[in-house]
Amino acid sequence: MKRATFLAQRKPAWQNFEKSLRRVESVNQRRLSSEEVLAFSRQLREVAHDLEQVRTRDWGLDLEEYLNRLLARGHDYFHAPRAGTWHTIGQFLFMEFPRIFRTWWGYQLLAALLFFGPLIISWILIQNEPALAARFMSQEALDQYDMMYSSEDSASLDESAFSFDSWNDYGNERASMAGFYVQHNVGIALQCFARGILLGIGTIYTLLFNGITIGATAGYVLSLGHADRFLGFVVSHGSFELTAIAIAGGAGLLVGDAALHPGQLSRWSALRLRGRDAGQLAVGAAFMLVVAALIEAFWSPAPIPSEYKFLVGGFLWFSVAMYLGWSGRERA
Amino acid sequence: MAAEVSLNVRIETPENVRLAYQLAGPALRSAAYAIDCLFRVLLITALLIGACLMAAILPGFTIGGILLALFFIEWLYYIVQEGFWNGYSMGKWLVGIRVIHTSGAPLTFWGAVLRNLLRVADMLPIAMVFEDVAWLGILPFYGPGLLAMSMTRKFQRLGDLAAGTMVVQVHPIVLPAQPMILDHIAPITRYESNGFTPTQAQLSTIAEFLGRRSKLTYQRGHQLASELADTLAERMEFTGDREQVRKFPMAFLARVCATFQTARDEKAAVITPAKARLM
Repeated sequence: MKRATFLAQRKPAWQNFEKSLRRVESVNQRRLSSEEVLAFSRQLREVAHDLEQVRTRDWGLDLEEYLNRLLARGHDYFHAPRAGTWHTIGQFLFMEFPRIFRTWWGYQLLAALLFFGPLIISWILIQNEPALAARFMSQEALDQYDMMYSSEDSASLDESAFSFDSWNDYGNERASMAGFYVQHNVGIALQCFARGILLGIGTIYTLLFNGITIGATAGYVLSLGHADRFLGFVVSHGSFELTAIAIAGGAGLLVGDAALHPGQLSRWSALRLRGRDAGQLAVGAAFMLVVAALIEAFWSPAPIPSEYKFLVGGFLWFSVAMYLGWSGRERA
Repeated sequence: MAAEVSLNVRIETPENVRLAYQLAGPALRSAAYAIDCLFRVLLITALLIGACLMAAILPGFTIGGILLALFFIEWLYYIVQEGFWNGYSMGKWLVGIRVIHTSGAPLTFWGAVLRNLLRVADMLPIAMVFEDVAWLGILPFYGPGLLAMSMTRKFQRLGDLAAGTMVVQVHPIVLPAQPMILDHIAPITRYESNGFTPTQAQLSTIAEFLGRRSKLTYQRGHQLASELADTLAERMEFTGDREQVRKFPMAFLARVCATFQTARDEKAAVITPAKARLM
């Protein structure tokens, strides 16, 4: 076979393949007819064969490069990941995410201890000794908490003043808070996860820091005697919010530990393998925090007696536990 | 074997096809990052202008919307683009680079999620020290990222290492120009040379060089060709007119091509008859 003959013979085939490439790339996968798919796959193998032939016969680097690029693009399309659907999202949220959570329960437990441990300790300490609170937070922040939970009309509206206008204002104010909670809390959780890759140090720092701050706030507000209002406010969204931050932390520890304890794998492969799961855990935690933000913005501050909030809050804590513990299990 | 210094990565796909990719280095990637930053700043500016108009009617919703949009631009800008646009972001597309898996497979959604969530860790120092100043996170400090890139063979930052991805260059697909027609060029006779035969790779290089000659200026083309022509004439102890070789090096190269390429093609044609090939 002469190079010139080869070129003359195969050129039309390559141009055809370019045409099919443009076609398959511009059309939805499901719209392609079976003939088109078969033709594409045959052409792909032909180009692969041509490339090897050009390589073994040293027929020129330019030609090799051309065929290589052509084939790479075809390869890309041929191995394109299957397009996701709404079903994929549900599958992830209700099956895969809780399963991955249970697979790595050890890391999750450690993260929960690192987060809830300091939280409870600083809560108890500061509730008994409120003067310590000034060591954790600025005086301005403390004054703000004091005001927030003592005055009657700042966090919730007076029921007697209820009218359409005030309801509209309420919704308006709540919407701004919802945006804030999503941006702030999901940001913290994702940072907490991402920093874990440096041997988990960043994650441990974030967990401890947030645990202590949240515990100190709770202790301080309770020491002022606003127990009913404060607990009524936090009990509902706390279920999703606190758990999700601990989960993001667990994901961070998971990637961080890959470099320390890779097991039978090389450190990089261990990182890749656990990274897959950890990324999914972080995204699941982000979803939980969006749920928490909606609860926190629209339900938690509602002007309803605290007993109802405790009831709903208790139910939410129970659902989170059920969700993480049992969702996605095989039927026995 | 000496380590090869090159941007090429060779991948063997599951179908035993060898594919070559050219990696994108820190310079190209920084350029893409800068363009993406510009896009993000423009997006935020446009949003704020829109928000000023909205704020008069629904102040609360506007603030909530802006905060939500900031969150999206901070965390989802890259994930959404790379995840659903075959490894491209706006900046990457303009610069001509894209993300693929190290196995050669196109970027998956979870790959895009992981490499971009871990971006925070790659630009750690500045984002960690000033964690209250959100916009500083946009500054391209990338301490750990650059360190990791300079220490790995495929220029991977931490996010790439965890997701098993790399950034490669994208080139347009152009069929190489047809080399010149050799039929009317006088071959070198056996009395003019010592029997040295160039390899097929050398002949292909000459043919490709001649095929591209129109892209070079006359002086540059002449300069490059004369080096090659002189060396070849030396090797084959060419007894013809050396003055001609010096004056018209491209013509000499074309003669070399005409002589040996035709000879090779005829030999190939004898050994493997066209009928026996499965073409």
